[in-house]
Amino acid sequence: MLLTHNMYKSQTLDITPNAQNINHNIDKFVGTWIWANGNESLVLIFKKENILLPLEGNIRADILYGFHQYAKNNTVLESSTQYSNGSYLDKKSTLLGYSLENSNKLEGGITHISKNNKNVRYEIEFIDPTHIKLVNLKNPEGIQINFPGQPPYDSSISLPQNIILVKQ
Amino acid sequence: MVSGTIAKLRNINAKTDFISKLSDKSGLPEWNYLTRAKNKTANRGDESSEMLIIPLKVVDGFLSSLMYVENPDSETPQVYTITDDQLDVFTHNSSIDREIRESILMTFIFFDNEMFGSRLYSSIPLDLFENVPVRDGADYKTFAIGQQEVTNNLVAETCYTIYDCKNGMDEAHCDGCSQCVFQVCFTGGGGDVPDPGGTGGEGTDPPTDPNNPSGSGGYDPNLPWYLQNPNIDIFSYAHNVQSVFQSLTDYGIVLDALQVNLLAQNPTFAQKFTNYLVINSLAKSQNTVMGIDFFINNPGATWQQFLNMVPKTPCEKITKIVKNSKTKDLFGLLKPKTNSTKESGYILTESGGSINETYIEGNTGEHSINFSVNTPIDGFVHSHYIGLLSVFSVSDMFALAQLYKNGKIKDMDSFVIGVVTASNTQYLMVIDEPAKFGAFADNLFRGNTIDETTQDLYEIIYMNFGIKTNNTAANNESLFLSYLQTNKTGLKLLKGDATFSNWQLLNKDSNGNVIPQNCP
Repeated sequence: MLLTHNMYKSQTLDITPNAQNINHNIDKFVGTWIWANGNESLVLIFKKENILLPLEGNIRADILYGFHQYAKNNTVLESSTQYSNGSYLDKKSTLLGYSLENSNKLEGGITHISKNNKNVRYEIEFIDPTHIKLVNLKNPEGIQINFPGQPPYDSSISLPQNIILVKQ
Repeated sequence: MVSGTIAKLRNINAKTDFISKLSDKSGLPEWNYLTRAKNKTANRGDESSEMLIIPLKVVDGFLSSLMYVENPDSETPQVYTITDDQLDVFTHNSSIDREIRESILMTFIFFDNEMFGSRLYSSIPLDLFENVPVRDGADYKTFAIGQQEVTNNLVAETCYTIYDCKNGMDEAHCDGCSQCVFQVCFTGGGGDVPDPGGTGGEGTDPPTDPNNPSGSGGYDPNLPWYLQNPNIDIFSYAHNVQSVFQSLTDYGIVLDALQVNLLAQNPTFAQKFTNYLVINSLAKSQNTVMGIDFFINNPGATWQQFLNMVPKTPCEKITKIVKNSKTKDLFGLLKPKTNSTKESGYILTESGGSINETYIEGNTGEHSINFSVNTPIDGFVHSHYIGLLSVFSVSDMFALAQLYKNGKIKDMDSFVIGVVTASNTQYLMVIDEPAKFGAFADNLFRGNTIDETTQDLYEIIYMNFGIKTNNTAANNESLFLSYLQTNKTGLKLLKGDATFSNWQLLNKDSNGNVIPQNCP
């Protein structure tokens, strides 16, 4: 049997000047995904764009960005989906993601709007073309600082996790 | 003579640190060939003086350079080297008197012949050694010389038989026909070798020839340092003025007459600049020029005023907070807390030389620590317990940016963030380039609130560099250093020892190796 490394090839960013980092491994996550359980629902919308990275050397990369809506008890608690027709450059997105070591795993961050817009790290697994799993949500490791006049850091996470979303 | 000379050189170096300024950093002295020579200084019209010449050899059997100790018995001997490369440039500089070039070249040949025997010399300019004919169509002269007796005194005239044989054959194989054997004599080995004007430094040619066109305009890499400004006889100035002038040429900076005169008229400043440049860098050379101009434009200005204008190095930036014994103690208190299951730390504020701390700690099992900052602070240090990163996290950097954006960094020139980890590492970050760091911080915000997606982008890049909790500390250190340098953060990383007393600035060379530099 011929084994190929390509099946498991990780996508790492090329940081040489003017690199484009075209990445088709993340295409399978593009689209609208919904999880619903009773009166609770989560919508994730992923789009792909080749964006300029904040690095020396005009380096670009295909990155997933997106929008989300979380509702509970018929109330929308968090939403950025109203901006989903825009591009990454509009700076309205609340999701960002990339596949690094495993092309079936998406890692990134989601803006937890109802927790003072704090950043939460997520891990998503590709199951099949119509299903993905939001495996977990975690606070980022490191220092968080509270400043006068700003709401204090809230370490709790109220978004659902360990859930399977279905492609629309 | 050898042991006495070695002792003499040690003493000279203790006073002048001449070794750091030598053009030859790799050759090894061949003390057995130490030679006393006469320096005729013919082109200067000065009285003759003596010099010691020591050949320096490289391992592959070639002469690396000659070291000259000019006026060895005086109070202020000048020590310099002339490398083979410098010799090549010098001998081809037709603006320099032919006899001087011949003499210096012959001094090299003399030592080469003594050390390695008869062999062929090539690439000799056509205008040298007139009695050796130019072969038809040749771009340079080639010849071999006969072996001479070893001597340690070159005061007397020395003559060589030159073999300009067909096909470049050496003495042993040359038939010695009348068309291919010549004699070349030169006086005093050192002879006109770097004359006092011409050799005071490391250079290879006489500096004070008024007809020498070299040094006009800016820096010319083909000229020795003392010829860089043709309007200045740099050897007529005090040693510390020479030293400053020479040090700046290391980075392509040539002082003009006004600037040199400022140093000459202010010996204290000349000495302070000399000391300032002992460990030189491009930044320090540029600062020196800024300082000299500052003193020219501000008569009566003090040295401290100049220092206040000079951007501080990362090592200088940790002096105020990290070198304080209280901060070391606090670092020490954090060390055992790396065995805990929560992060701990101290917020640091400085007042009148004293450090005041506020203890902070995170929640058990949470890989983070959060705290409030109401007024500007001077830094903070924290711990990473077992299972956490051996270097700073990306959020640690964001915290720094947040402090900046909220006006809570009291002094960009001394602010530090520190981490002590369960991997037995301890690091600091300082703001090395405030403008670049400011741009980095601005990029992380939309107005006054954090731009979460940009933060995500930095997180992704951080992960892409491969910085992980299960890496070795050395690997993470190298990767994080690359991350800092590539991400336009304007931050610098320093690494401490277990006592928190000794710190090293970490950089990477062009091959990606981590290069630690001890902070004084």
